[in-house]
Amino acid sequence: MEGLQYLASGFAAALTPANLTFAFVGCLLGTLIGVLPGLGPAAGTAILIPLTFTLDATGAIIMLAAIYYGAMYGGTITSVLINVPGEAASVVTCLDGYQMARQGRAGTALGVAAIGSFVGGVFAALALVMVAPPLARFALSFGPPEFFALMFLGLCLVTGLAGQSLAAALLMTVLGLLLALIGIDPVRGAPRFTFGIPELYDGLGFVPVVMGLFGVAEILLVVERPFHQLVTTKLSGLWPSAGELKRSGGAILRGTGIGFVLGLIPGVGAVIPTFMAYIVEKKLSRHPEKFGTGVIEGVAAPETANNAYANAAMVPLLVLGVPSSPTIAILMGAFIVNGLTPGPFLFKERPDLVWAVIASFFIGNVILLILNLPLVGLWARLLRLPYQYLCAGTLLFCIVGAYSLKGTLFDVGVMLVFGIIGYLLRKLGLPLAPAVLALILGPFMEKSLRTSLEMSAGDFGIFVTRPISAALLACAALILAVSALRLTVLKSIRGGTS
Amino acid sequence: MKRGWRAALAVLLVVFAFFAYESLRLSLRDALGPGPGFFPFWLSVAGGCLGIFLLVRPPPDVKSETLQFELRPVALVLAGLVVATALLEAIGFRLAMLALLPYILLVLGARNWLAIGVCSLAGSFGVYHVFSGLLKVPLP
Repeated sequence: MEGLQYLASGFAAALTPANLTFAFVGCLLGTLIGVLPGLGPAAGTAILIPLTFTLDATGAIIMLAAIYYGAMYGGTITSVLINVPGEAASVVTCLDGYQMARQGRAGTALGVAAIGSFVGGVFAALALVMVAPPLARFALSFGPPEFFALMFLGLCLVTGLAGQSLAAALLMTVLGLLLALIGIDPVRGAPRFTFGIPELYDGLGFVPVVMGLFGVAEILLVVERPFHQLVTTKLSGLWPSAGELKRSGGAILRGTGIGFVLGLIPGVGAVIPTFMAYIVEKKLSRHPEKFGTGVIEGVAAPETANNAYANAAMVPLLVLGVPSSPTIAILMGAFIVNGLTPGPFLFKERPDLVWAVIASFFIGNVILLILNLPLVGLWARLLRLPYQYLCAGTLLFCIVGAYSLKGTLFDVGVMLVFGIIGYLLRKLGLPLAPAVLALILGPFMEKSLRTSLEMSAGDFGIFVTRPISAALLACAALILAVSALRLTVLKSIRGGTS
Repeated sequence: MKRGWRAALAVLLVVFAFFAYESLRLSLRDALGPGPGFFPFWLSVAGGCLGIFLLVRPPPDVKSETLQFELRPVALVLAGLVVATALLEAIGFRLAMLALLPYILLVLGARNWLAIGVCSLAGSFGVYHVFSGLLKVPLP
């Protein structure tokens, strides 16, 4: 119940006119980003960070969080209307959502997606309120070895689930960690890998790097394969009928549970919960053969799971300081830009901020519901925007964002270099998610590792003699082993079928 | 794709070799415990081993897929970005963007001159006004 008391004070802070405006603008911009094909939540959140530079920390995080879950919802609109998912988590929504649109029920599909997203988001935020305080208290007992083991586990989860090759994902993790170590050594104060360039003493800026890897690289890929789409679907009847609502009810509840539970696990990503929710509904249905032809449960379940996941993914970030996806890593970067380090100490040192942000999740979900039902027509019209203008606008925002962080051209150069790197890595099929997470966790991991080894006079046994760190490291080893096994089995199945 | 994959891994191996060499120049250990070179050195070693492993046993999709590039539009967009970045502080944000935006739009095939003009003005003077004037984010 203590969570509810804190939440009440959080609401008092989040309901100020300024913070309400930030949440509203964040939801609006996030949905816009989600609607525009080619820009996912990660790229969208990265390029919009500069909008928050002049805000106070609470307002900045509220706005960026709203951009994040707004973008997660926005992807639904393109999935339903033009069969193009705005982001990966909306892929499964295309299956039945687009079929509904072809039958003239696009409005109903979008309506039930909005309702499901609202229910999933609110329930996940409520569960966050219950889970966060005890988990944060438990995490306060962690020392450097436990934090190192926890971050190692987080990286293993993301690495184990990224891409088709574990070795390639590990390679990207190592690269991200190494890039994170550029700058002044946090323990001894010695410059490392800086080539004598003063701008590198503070390390590579996280914001320019992710803007390059996601924003610029994404645009270079779009430029290669331009998209031209037409919205032909007419929108009418956004509110589902009583029968449709009844059929969606169970799917929404199950989607909430699946999304929340999987959102707590770093590395799962938004795609797995949405597919799992869809598969569960298909298994439970009396008419599984109708899935893929435009059944409402096929939209309600994945959309609910998507938003429940988006809210639950905040738990590992806020409570443990471990981001579970690239977009959440970008949010963690925004915390750091504002001088805050997510994790259990943030609950102790800045409860005002943490609880205002959590309260804003509820407010954001309400805003999304109010915003999206009446504005669906407007979003549909935006899909007629020629891709050339989208590309030019995105690049413009990337330049503004990279420059305005420190007011130097160096960061714009870093962004362009990482844009080219991101473009090449994507072409080669190398996963970016482990590299981005490693980039943000690298300095914390190194500090924890070295402090632990100083505590034990260089004895690595400190990681296995302390029960929590030993358990976390065992989990990490298990995850890597299971991932390797899974990929080997998949490979042999493919080999057998080809 | 195999050739591109090998080239990328070769570049990464050079990067890891550089990090390993530089880490050795920093101390791996000192009186207080692990030195500034400790973590990056062992990471570079791990990266090098993974790189060699992937050279020997590339993932299945690397063997089957072919890598295709549409270099012309990508190179033209990148060239525009590099020039605009180089000129950003010399001629200021507004003029640099007033040149970059119509260039990008034309390179990508936009031909509606009115829309190009409006977009360029909004993206240069408009964005400058919003960020510098309203949001107090300094732009050159």
